[in-house]
Amino acid sequence: MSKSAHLLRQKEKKLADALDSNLRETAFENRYSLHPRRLVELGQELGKFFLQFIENDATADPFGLGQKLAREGLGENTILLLGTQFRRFIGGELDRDPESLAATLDAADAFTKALLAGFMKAREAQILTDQEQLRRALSTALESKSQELLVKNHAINTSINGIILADLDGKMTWLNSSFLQMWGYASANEALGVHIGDIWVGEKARGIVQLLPRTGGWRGELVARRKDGSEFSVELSASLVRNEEGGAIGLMSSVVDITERKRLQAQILQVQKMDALGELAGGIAHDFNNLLTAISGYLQLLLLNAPRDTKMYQDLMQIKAAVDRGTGLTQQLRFFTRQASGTRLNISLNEVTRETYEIFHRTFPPEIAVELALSPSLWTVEADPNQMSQVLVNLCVNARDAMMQRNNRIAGGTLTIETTNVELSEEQAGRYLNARPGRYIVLRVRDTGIGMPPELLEKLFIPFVTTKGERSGTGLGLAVVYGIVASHRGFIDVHSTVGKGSTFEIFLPVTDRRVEGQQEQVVVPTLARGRGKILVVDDELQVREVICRVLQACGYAVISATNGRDALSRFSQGGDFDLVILDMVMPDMGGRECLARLLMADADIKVMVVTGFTVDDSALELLKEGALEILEKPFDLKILTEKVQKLLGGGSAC
Amino acid sequence: MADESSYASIADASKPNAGRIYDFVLGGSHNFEVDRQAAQQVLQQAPFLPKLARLIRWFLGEAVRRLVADGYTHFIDFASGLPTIDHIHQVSPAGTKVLYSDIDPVTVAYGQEILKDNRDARYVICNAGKPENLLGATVVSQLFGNNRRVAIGFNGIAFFLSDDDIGHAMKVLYDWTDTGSRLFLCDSGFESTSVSPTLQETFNIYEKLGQPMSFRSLNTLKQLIRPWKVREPGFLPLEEWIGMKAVVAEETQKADGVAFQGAILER
Repeated sequence: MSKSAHLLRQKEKKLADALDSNLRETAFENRYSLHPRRLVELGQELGKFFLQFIENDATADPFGLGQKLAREGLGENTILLLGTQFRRFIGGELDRDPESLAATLDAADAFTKALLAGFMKAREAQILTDQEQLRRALSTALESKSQELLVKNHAINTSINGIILADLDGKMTWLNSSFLQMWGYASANEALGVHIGDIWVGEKARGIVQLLPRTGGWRGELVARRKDGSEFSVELSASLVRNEEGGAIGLMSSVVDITERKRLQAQILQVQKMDALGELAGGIAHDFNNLLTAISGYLQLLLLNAPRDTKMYQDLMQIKAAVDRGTGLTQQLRFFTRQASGTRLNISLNEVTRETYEIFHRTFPPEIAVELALSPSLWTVEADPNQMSQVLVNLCVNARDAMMQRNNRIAGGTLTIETTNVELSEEQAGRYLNARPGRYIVLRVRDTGIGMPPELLEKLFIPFVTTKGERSGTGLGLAVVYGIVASHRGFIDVHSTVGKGSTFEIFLPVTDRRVEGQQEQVVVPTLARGRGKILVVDDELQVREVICRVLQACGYAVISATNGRDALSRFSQGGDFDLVILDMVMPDMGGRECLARLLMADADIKVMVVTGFTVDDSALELLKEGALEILEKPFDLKILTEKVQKLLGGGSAC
Repeated sequence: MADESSYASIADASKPNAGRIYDFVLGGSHNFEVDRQAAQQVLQQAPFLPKLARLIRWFLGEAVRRLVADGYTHFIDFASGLPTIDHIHQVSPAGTKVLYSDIDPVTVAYGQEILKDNRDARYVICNAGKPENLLGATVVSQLFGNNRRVAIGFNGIAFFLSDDDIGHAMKVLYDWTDTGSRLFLCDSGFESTSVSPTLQETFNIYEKLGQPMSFRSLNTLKQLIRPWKVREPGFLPLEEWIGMKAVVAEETQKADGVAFQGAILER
């Protein structure tokens, strides 16, 4: 070790302190990663290292030290300041020995030069590494962004909504595949450049486009026009596309095809309307039934006593025919209101169709061809075969009339009756208001007649709506079809095009049970006589009287009551009745409550219920509650007397 | 999580980005010319900013060293920035578990790149104002198991969050941690209305860059951090934490006398 080096080594602490002071002064010149607490150690390490170099220690590598300091985060200015500090330190300590001073300063300069070179090389590498790191991270971010954009682009392109981008002039610049499908374009090129106002019906859309810059957005329903000119309803959301500065750069529209939604809304309205009409018609039918019951009853009494060869008997038979027609009419109304009861059997609709076809097809003019296309493996349904036959007859008669009405002459055509199995998915069932997913059989009646305009389709099933003129129809045919199908938990789909014909599709839910044989018709005996004391309870005077008179004529002792409370009063007076005939709907106290109280008073009392409504589940409940028999109004007196005779036992025919 | 706009912005070299400007101010190389030009504008209004940025980062190093000395071996850090030299996993002993997070996806991408060979450190994306997103993540249970006695870094982020966000974050972190956990943070310690128009201009620049700043008094901050308790020596200017008071004194005067305050809290 030289003398000067030895001298400097003795001042190592002084050099470390000076360096520490320098490092602290320039602390903010360093990279943020170099914590000030490190500066104290760094000053000591630097001083030691510098002195080793001055002492010609071969292990002292200022170039490597410079690289290390760069990695530590020392700034360039700090390095230069350190070089100055080394010179200042040497100058201060060796100022009395000019020869040693010059040589040591040269050594210090060499040290600083190598230190700086190492530092700069490391900094360059550091900057390159940082930039490479930045490039890699940005590349990763851009790749992620690109993937994200790809997903978004795919999402927009495959959206079930039609998406339209247009420039501010309204010319379409981008379209997704749903748009092309909705509007019937084979490719985007066919529609690009077309003005957005040209794909709608009317001028409303153009107005919306013009107003968008002011309104910023619009949402509502429009009628769209496909490439082939057909129209469909959509819900449109239109808005301005803005750049980052908020300036408008285009238009964006999102379109939802609401044809199905509107169809379902129309179905809901239709069902609500039909339900309201059903209630109204049901009430009328009930009251009308009571009237017919009274008229029919008195008429039958008159007929029993009238000599058959008299004019009066003939006149009474005319009245009877009119009453029977009235009864038929109320029966049809009850079909519509779903009040008509029936026998539900597991049947194949093919059999019903064939039988019905045999009856009616001969009545069709030769200009009308009737074709049957029945599925050989048709599933069974639980249905009333007579009502199903009624449905088929009504539809076929309408179809026949639709093919005969051109210019008041027989035009002819083809009537096709098809049956087929279908299984409705959740989505398919969703197209119909009352449909549930599952298996159905479809009865399809298709004609090639005059067809129906949309406004007629809307009121097709409303009672007494007819296009056949006053003499030709009652206007109840399709109303009856509607009621019967609805009471079978089915639904109807109708398609019609004016001039081309109509198709009615009846969907009926399938049952898994096997086809049952037809029930045998019960032969009704003539007016049945008997003995016993009967209490007749009905609020309708005429109904009450006719029942009383018939029963009295058949040998029974009869007492009447006007409502449930009156009946209980007479019952409690010790009437010792064998049978009570009880109406259901009465003021003050109805039949159900009266039945319960009668049974409380006498658990063995026999009760037969008569009702102007259908014998449905709630009526059948009365049997469980103790009634022995239920009879629907208007009833045939023969059936009434037979049931009474059956309940009271014995007797003979009148 | 970072929203789409921040993601797009950070990867867009054609527009200045607040995160990359901050990097330049700190003397980093992760920035572009457009960022440097914007940074120059900021520095004209606030020339003390590079020093302040360094003080904030050095406070982190200081706090971590103290927490390590007190035996903390599990760290969660919010708004971590780049985990280069002198970050938690480098200051702490081997085996210390560190979970870094940041709202900036590019920073997270850097961080994951840097830490890819480190088994004890992870880097995930998280908005410091919604720490529940991080605490509920699988990575927490993977790294920490059931340990809830942790040290939390919430450094250099409070002035980028609203009062509501800070209050929410402090409550969520308090509820999640076990007794004895610690949290260090720093904030401005002064309200934005109390600064000069020149400094206000700096805030406006940041707001234009999509990074609005919220300044609050020390009293307000103390309310927001409840129920965390402030440990001794309490809130101190950052330069005092790192022994640079003398060096910084003159600069503090130049910067309207404003000094950022830091503290270590305890549950």
